[in-house]
Amino acid sequence: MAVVAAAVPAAVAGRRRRRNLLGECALLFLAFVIMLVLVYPTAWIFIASFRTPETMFAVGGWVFTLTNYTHLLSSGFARAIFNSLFLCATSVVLSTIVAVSAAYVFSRLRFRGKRPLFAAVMLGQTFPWIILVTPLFILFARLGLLNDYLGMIFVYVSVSIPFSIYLLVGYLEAVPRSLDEAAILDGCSLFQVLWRIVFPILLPGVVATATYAFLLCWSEYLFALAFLTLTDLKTMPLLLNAYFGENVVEWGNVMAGSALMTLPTLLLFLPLQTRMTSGLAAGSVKQ
Amino acid sequence: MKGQRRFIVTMLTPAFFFLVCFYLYPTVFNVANSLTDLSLFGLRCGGDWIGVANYIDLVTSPDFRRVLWNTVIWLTAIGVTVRLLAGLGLAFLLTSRTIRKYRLETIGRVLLLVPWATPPIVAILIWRWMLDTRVGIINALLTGLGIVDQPIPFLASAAWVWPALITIITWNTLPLVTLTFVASLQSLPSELVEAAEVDGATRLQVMRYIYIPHLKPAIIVMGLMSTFWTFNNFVYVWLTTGAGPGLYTNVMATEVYIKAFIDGRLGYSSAVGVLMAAIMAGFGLIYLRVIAQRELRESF
Amino acid sequence: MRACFGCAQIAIAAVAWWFVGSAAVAQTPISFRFNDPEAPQMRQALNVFEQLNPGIKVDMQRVTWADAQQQYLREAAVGAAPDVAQLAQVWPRAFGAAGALRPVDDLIEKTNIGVAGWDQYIARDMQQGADGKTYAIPFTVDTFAMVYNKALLKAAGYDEFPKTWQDLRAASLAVRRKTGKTGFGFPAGSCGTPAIWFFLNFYWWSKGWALIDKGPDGKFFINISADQIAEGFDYYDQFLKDGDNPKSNLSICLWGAPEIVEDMVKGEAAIASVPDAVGVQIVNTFKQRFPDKQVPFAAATHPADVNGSKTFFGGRSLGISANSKHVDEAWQLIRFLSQPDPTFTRFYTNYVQPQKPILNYDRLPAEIAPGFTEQIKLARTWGPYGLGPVAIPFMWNAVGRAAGSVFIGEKSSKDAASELREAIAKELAKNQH
Repeated sequence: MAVVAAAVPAAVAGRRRRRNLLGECALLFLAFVIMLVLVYPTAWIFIASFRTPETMFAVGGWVFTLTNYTHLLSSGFARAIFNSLFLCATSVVLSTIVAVSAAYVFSRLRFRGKRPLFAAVMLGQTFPWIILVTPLFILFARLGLLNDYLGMIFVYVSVSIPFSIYLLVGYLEAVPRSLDEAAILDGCSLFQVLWRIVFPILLPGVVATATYAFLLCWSEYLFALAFLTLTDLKTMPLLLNAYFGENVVEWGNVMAGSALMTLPTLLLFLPLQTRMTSGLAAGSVKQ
Repeated sequence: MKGQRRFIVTMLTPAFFFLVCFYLYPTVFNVANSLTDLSLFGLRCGGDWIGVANYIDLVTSPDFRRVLWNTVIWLTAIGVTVRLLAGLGLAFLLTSRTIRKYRLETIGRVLLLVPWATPPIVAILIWRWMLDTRVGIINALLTGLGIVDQPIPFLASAAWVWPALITIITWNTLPLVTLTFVASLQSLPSELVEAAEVDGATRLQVMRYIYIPHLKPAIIVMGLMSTFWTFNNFVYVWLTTGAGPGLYTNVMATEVYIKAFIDGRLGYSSAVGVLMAAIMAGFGLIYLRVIAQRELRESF
Repeated sequence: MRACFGCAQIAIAAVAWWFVGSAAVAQTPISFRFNDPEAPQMRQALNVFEQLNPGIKVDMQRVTWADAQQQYLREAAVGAAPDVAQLAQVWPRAFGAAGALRPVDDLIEKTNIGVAGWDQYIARDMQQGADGKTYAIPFTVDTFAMVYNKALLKAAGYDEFPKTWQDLRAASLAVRRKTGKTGFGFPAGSCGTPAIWFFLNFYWWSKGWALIDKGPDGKFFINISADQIAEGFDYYDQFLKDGDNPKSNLSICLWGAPEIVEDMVKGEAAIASVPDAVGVQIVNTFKQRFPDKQVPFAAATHPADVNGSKTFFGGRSLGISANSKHVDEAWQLIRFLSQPDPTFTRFYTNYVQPQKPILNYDRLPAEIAPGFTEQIKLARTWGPYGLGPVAIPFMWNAVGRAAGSVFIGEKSSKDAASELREAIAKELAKNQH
């Protein structure tokens, strides 16, 4: 009797263990499939960029080559890479500083007119960009900002501020106000509280927001098309789009250019991605 | 407090400098032009005043209802919902015990970056090839596994073109949503969940009473952001289907483009743009007031 | 004394040398917007131009054709357009009216242009504004012809290329039934500038119909009924319905789409309607991929009906912007580019010039040259389409959309046709004075 009684719980425990194992396998398989779906398209572009245009799309008989890249870089794409990098890095740094400042005020302080001002920030996102192009073009032409880095930086900072502020206000919610209060009691000015105390904890949120701002600028086409017509100033999306002609698509350039456009962002944010999520937990336990 | 006032002004001025300079003039330009018949060819001389004729034209045009439906329901409502649900699911997967047990969350986050780093035109390019009827891998899998006997022309059939579009957009924009939810989930102390389970709570109850309330701020923020980005989006629809076949996938942003740069009717397209901004502004204000205020009460 | 004289000599020589040197160094920069993918080849031609004209430096710019019109008009409105621009052949009239181009009549009178003078140019009417002034010089000309795979057609029982629209339909169906391959594979999709616009017009023109025609009273009118428009839609819809044009072609839109080229090269499709540049692509890709196989392609004219076989003169023009400050140098460049040598003989070799004495396809691959030569003899200019009050981009987009809605089964051809005709009639009434 006792033997049977003891055997039953063991069997049940064994079944539960097997069910858990089965569940784990299913979950891992699902995760594997999802990761494959996430990565396959881009991986294919990288692989295709090393094949000759004639054999890229064939099912076999691929010819390995580096000429796509050499051809691409010698036709002015290298200059475009520099332009994109410079414009996006500068815009993101400037936009982050401006947005963090404004977001802190909106999140922490109370003042008259706060709601309408915040609504105004949000309203900036409600316009489709296409209808902003023509009037801004005319304005820039009058101010001499066409074909000018300064003009483009102004554009990219402006289009990234509204959502940056909004996202950062959200992230600031998770940073406890007790930290601020403690620092103020210690005699820090608001300025110091923001940049010395809050900013380091906010860093993951800042990184995520800056990443989005960077990616926005990196692939932006409409404004760059209208404001940059001198070949030396063009950014990568302009050149990449240009390879899709009416009569012919320059596949070698397209694949190599796509790979070169995707790679920097991957490399830039690989080390940053840990910053994006860790640290948010520290110090943000809701009281 | 005077010190505080000076601080507020200093911190806010740069942001508003950019916003006012960048958005104010175009807004005035567009509202003014929406009341004229300005054409792309007559940019130098300006257009003639025609009052609200553009708006009436727009609202009574036979295609208006379809364009509105496409934009509001297909592109935005369904698209954002899919994105949020997929993001939630993926976030739960990435932070699940199984994944953490095998130390896979780092590589998961790294791989998650890949779709995000891929520029839209590149993403569209490769997805169009994958969805191709004859050489696309998706059809190859479907026919190979016997799920269908004929390949599906995804981008050429009325039944499949919207799901295909939403798939492409979701693939490209999922990472930010997922990462935000992951960050939020990671800040949830695991003791809460364990305590609830010890008390005998089912999975569903844990989900409903612990996870969801904790995720609410993130869902709200992502929901609003996604809606804005998606509603106004032009690139994905235009580069994937060109608003076709016919005008089947025409959304408001592509309508603006066609009317402005193909038909040359800048006045009319300004009216469409103003309408888009009005809809989003209305939505945003209601959203902020009703939902966000409840959740982000401390700030507002 | 001597030393000072020596100094003076050196000083004078230095000053003179400085003058001469700076004059030689002083270069007039002009900007040239060239939007074709043959940019590297054109750059070489421009280098030759710079060698022959040491005082001029040419900066080449490029904008994709899809964006070129709006970009140019925006720039012209603020006076920032490039000095010389490559334009679609049908733009000069509208651009001239918008004040975006500088009339070139005075320059033509002064120096003339081309191998045999201005009056040997074709499609001159398209370059003139409503005020009678000439706004651009035709640069290249092209037309569509039917490129087909002789072996596939033979396997379907056709030794010769079909001559009527019904025959084409039957031949395409026969290819599908007997070989399982695509018959006439054409892009049926919608975008801003869909290829189906050309195919529909070829059909309508060969029957003597046209969307816009000019009446004897000088007024423009719509020379086609809704039923006739619908007939065109139905004709092409049949290919899709019966499967000899695969449904997947509904998702491609441009005439040079890689899917079309690939299908022809691989022998998956029998017939395509393409411009000479794409025809060259098909032949050359085949030769590259299968160097030991015989090229199976040939070209033929489009099917004919009561009005014969009709395609259009397409092509590009070169114009000088209204805000250009270097008109003489810009004109120099245009004159240089209008000579066959060296631009077309050495660099930009895939294109044909719109001047009667040299209007031939001798440089095209021998397999398809005769067909294109035949076809261009039968081509017509856009004429009333371009000269009339309804803008071609508007009609191009509207026709493509209407056809697309029929092909996807959303609207009946009759409904789509009458809606299209109404839309055009509205534009016509609005703009006709």
